[in-house]
Amino acid sequence: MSFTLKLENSRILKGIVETLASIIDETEFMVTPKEFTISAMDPSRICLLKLSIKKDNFDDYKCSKESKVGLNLDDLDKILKRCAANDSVEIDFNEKDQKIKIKMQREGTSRTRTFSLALLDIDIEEIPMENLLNIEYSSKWVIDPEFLVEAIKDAEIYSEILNMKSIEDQGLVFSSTGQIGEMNYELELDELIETDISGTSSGAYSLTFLKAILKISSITEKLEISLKTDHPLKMMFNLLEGGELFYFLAPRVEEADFDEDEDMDEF
Amino acid sequence: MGIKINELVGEVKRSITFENLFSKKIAIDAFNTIYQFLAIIRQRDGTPLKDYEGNITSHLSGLFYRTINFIEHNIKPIYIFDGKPSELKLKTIKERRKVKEEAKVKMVEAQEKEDFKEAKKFAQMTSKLDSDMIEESKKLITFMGIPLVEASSEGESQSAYMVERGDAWACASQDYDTLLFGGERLIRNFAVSRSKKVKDTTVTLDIEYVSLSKFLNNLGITREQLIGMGVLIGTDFFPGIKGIGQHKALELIKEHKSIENIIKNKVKGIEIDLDVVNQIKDIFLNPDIKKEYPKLIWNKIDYEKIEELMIEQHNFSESRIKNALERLRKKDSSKTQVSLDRYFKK
Repeated sequence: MSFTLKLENSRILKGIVETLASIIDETEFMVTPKEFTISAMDPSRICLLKLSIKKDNFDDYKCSKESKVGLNLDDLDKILKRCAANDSVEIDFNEKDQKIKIKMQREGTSRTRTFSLALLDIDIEEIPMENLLNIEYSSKWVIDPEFLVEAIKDAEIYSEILNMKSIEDQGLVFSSTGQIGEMNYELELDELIETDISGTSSGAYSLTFLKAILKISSITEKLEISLKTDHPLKMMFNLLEGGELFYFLAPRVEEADFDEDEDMDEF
Repeated sequence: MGIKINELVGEVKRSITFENLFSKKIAIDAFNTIYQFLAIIRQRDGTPLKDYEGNITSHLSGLFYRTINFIEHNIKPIYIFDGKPSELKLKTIKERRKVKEEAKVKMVEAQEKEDFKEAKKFAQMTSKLDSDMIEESKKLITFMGIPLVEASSEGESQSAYMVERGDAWACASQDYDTLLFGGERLIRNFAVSRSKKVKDTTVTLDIEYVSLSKFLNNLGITREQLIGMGVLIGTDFFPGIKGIGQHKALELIKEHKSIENIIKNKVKGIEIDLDVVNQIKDIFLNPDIKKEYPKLIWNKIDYEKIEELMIEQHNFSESRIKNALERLRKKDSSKTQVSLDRYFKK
C-alpha cells in the first residue's frame, strides 16, 4: 500500500481539513486507484461529512491499491496551516513507514518543506450511509454559498437555530427568532441558480453545526441544498478544483416527534 | 467504595465525552452521586455549604449544576434512589459510621490547629446523608423535570435491570459493584464535559465507559465468577479477605473455577462460611428489584419552584441561580436536536 497525492493549490485541502478538524478528532483517509475519500461523523452523530475527489482532479495521483490511513486531524490541520496560499502540497504514504509525509513547495521555486505525521491505529465505524443517501427530497436548489454564509451570520444574532423554508413557485426563506427579535432572509426564484421545489418544506438546524461549513464556502462556487421537512439537511458542495463534498445535518424537531425507542445503539 | 477492580477494568475501559452520550438515557445512582457532592463541595476548611439556618446544601448545589450540564448536552438522566439496604449492607454501613465518627473527631482537631488541608481531608470522610437531604434532592430533581425511580433495595441493581430492559442505556455510578449486578454498560466520572481537543495531556477525570460483556470476555470469566471474586476482594456487602486483591482473586477464580471450590479446596488463608457466600451471591444474582415503575418522562422544567427552593428556602445566590436557569430556558424553548441514527435505519 502506498500513494502520492499532489495539488498545485493547497487551499482546497486546507479548507477541508480545517472543517473536518472542527467536528471530529480523528479520521481515515481512504485512497483508491480512482478517488480520494474521507467520511466523518461527529461524536454526537448529528452531522456527517463525505468528501470525494476524483483522481483526475489532482495534479499528480499515484495509487495502485486501496489504502487507508488513520490520522489525527488537529495535527494535520496544524501542519497544513503552515502552507502558504501559493504552495503546492503533496501527500505521500508508503506502507513500510507508519507515517505520511506532507511536502510543501513554494510556487516557482525549489524551496520545499517536508512534514511527517504518525499514523493512528483507529477503529473507524462503517457509517451506514445508504439510507441517508436514498432519502427522496422534495426540495432541491442550487445557490451561491455566500447566501448561506450570510444567513448563518444573520441568524446568530437571535438564536442557535437557523430555520429554512422553501415554497414552490416562490423561493426560500432563512429565518431565526430570539427574545430580542427576528430576522428573515428571503430569496426569490431568480436569485437561485437551479430549483426543483415541490410543495412547502421546512426544517430547523443548529447553527453550531452549520458554522462548520463556513470554511468550505470559500473553496466552492455552487452549493446544492436539499430540504425535506424534519429530515436531515443535505448539502452538496462542488469544490473549485473539482471534487464533491456532502454534508448531512440532522434536524431539530418538536419534542413530541421524538421516538422513544431510539438511540440505544452502541456508539 | 464498592469492589476494587480498577486495574482489571483498565484494559477494556474507554474514555468518552458527553458528545458520545448524546440523547442517551442514563440511570444515575443518586446516593452515590449525592455523597460525592457532600464530600467535594466544601469550603477551604472543610465546612460544607449551608443556608442561613445552618442546613447543609452542598448536595443541592451539586445536583443543580450537574443536571443542568446534562440537559445542556442533551443527555437524559434518570436518578435512581436506594431503598432499604440489605442486612449485609447494614453491617458495612455500621462500619462506615464508625469511620465517620472517628474522622469527625480528627476534623475538629485539625480545625482547631487551623490545619485546613487535614481538616478538609477528614471532613470529606464525615459526609452524612439524612432523610431531609434526600427529600430535598428528590424535590429539586422533580422540579428540573427529571424522572426518578425509587429502588426497593440497591439502586445499582435497579439501574442494571433498567438497562437490561432498555429503559436506560447505561448505569452511572462510581462503584464497580454495578457490574456485579449485571449492568451491561457502566459510566464512571459522569461529570466533566471534556472538550474535544485533549491530546498530549492526559486528563485524569475522563468519563469512563465499561461494557460488562467486553470486560468478562477479556478476563475469560462469567459474571458469577466475577461475583465470586467480589467475595474475595470485598464489596459493599462483605469486607473480603485480607491480602487478596484483584489480580490474586482473578488467578484463584480461574484456577478453582468457583468461589465454592476455592473454599472447599481449603486455599490457604481463605475461610468463609458458605452461607455467607450464598447470601452475597443472592444479593447480586437475585436482587430485590422493582419491576413496575412509572413511565420515565422528562417533564417541563418548573422554574418558579426551583427558584423558590434554591433561593428562598436555601439562600443560594439569586443571580447565579437565575443565570443558570436562563441557560436552561434557552435550551427549553428551542426544538430538540436529533441524531442521524434514525435516518440510517429505515
